[in-house]
Amino acid sequence: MPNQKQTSNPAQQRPNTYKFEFTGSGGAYFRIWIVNILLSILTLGIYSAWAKVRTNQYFYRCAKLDNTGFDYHGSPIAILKGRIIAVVLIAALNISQHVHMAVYAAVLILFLVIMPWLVAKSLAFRMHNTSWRSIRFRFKGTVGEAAKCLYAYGLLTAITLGIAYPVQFRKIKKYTFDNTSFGKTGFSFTANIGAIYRVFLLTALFVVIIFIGFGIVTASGVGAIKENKELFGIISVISVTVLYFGLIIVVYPFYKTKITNLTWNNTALGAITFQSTLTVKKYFAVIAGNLVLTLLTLGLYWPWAVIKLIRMRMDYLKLTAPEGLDAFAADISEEVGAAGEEISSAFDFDISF
Amino acid sequence: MRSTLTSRSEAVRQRTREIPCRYYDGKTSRANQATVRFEAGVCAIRGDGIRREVPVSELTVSEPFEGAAQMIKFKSGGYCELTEPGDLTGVLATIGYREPIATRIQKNWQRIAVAFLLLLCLLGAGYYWGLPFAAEIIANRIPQPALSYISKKSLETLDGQWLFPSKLSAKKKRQLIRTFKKLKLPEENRPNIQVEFRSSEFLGANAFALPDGTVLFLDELVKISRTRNELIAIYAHEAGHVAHRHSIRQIIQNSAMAALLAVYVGDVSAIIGAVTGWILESKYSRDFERSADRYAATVLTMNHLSPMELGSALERIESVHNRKQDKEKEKSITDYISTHPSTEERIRELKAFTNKRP
Repeated sequence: MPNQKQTSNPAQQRPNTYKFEFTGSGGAYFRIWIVNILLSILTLGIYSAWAKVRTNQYFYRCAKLDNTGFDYHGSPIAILKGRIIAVVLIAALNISQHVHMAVYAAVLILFLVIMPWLVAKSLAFRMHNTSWRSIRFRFKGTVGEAAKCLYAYGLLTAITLGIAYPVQFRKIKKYTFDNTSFGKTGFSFTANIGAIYRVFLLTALFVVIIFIGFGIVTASGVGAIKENKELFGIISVISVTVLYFGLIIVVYPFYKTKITNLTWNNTALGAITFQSTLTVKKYFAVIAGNLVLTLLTLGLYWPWAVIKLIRMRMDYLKLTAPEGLDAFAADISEEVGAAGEEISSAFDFDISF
Repeated sequence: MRSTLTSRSEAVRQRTREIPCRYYDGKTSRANQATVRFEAGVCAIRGDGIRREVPVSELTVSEPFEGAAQMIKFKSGGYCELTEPGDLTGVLATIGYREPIATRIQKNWQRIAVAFLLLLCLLGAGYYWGLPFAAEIIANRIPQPALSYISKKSLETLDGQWLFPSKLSAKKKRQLIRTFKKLKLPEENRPNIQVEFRSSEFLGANAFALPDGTVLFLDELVKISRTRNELIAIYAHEAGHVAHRHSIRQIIQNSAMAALLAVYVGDVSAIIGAVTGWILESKYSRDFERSADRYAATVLTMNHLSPMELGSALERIESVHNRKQDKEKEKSITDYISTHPSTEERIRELKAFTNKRP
């Protein structure tokens, strides 16, 4: 795969506009992937923490803004500790289920209580360990706010049978972005609720249409149950395929395109604004191609698929920085009072919204 | 790829060379054009208004990746991004940087091919021997109360859902249990079996063993069998499942498989992961069936019965199921995803067993 070094300086195309680009390749990631899986198996899973760091390093460093890659600083030991805790928690949840309902309930409650803490800490870990041009990102969201996003707004979503989900979605995005900063400069998320509702309603409409298609195929199959078992088998296979591929190949790209554009186009970093111009058609082509090739190669195409998707997403993202990108200052104060940092980098959890 | 020799001599030439880089000081996001030079245990950065010396012991070198710039990071903050394309391993070796094993494999497609083949062998060996071996060890360590608990729970779930009370007479049940109890079983791993009866129109002519040694006979099976010996043969087969702890081993193997697939395939698609799991697990199930068949053949021989009693029981069960499904079953691709070996194959094995021990 040719190394897609950029051919022209993006800053010259339009003043103060900087493009993101992704210089990773499927071939390189395939090799990293194979080595990671091999070493993880040989070490009975212990290497997987190092594998995660290497994978993240690769993706972050190949993601470039104004010719400079991002960087990932997560420590494998911290990730390993987080993974051990996660495995213990999940095992406790599974085993207690078979022991006694009271024990299960106790473990479940414990799980629900620490969940917001896990979410806040894993966001903090990820942000604290991401940098660009030697300036680290920061996340200062509180556990209480995370609990509110998960449970207060979750309850609202539940009692309205999902109708209020966009409200919860907006709250989660606000919690994530508004508490994140790049050095001393904070992000903000300002999408209005109407725009979010539009995306979710259109997605819901798509789902309904696909379920109607599924229903029609299935209904025509029901008539055939009694007479012909083979025909019924064929029809049920077709109807499940309609449902599955309809959801994966059509609805998913639609939703991802709309929600990604909406999110970035309503996010600011100080005076900087972002522009994401993904199209459903392009997203659909990448997802469909990836799915087909991954299936045909029994999964071996996977690394290329991941790279292709990320590259597409980055190709359609740019930012406008009226005062350039040189003036971001590191958040030194945070570095000095390192107590919070210590805790949040003590272990990592692969948990996010 | 350069040979070690040239890269070493080049390194000597480059040792005192200034390498172009972009320097970031860790305080602001300003990109500074600079050069870096390694000399006498010190890394010297020079640029417009920049003079910084960092001892080699206080810097780390990022992993080299194709498509990403190499970085020299300073513990006290800031880093240099090497903008010169190409392999800098030679230069970096002069400051004591050694490539990690992973990098050395990754750089070379031949090594990757070897790693890939090794990975396939490991996965294959794990699937064929590793997981069944580990599951057997674990299964033998699970205490009886835990097995009873699991069995009780699963029976509770099945009862009323798929299984209904048996309609056989109490006398018939007593007779069958008495017959089964009289059967001699091998001393090794002698199973402790409790026979229970249920009926199920959905499951049809069937019997199965639960982890704790409960063996369920369905009325539908009792009704179709022509002779007592056929039921004894089925009982011996189920006793084989109990003696070798097949149920619990299967639970362990399948959960481990599902967990692994969720990690590696679940990323792609949960459904594909589930289908793959189903196909892979079916081999384990067939292996257990074959093992239980061999056990049954041994038991039948011990009790002066022909192993072919099991063969005729299997044939009868299959003919009933086929009549129910209303279609001819032929050897096809479905044999590879079936939970049981084909009846034809099982009978062939049983015949071979009979001939071996006249």
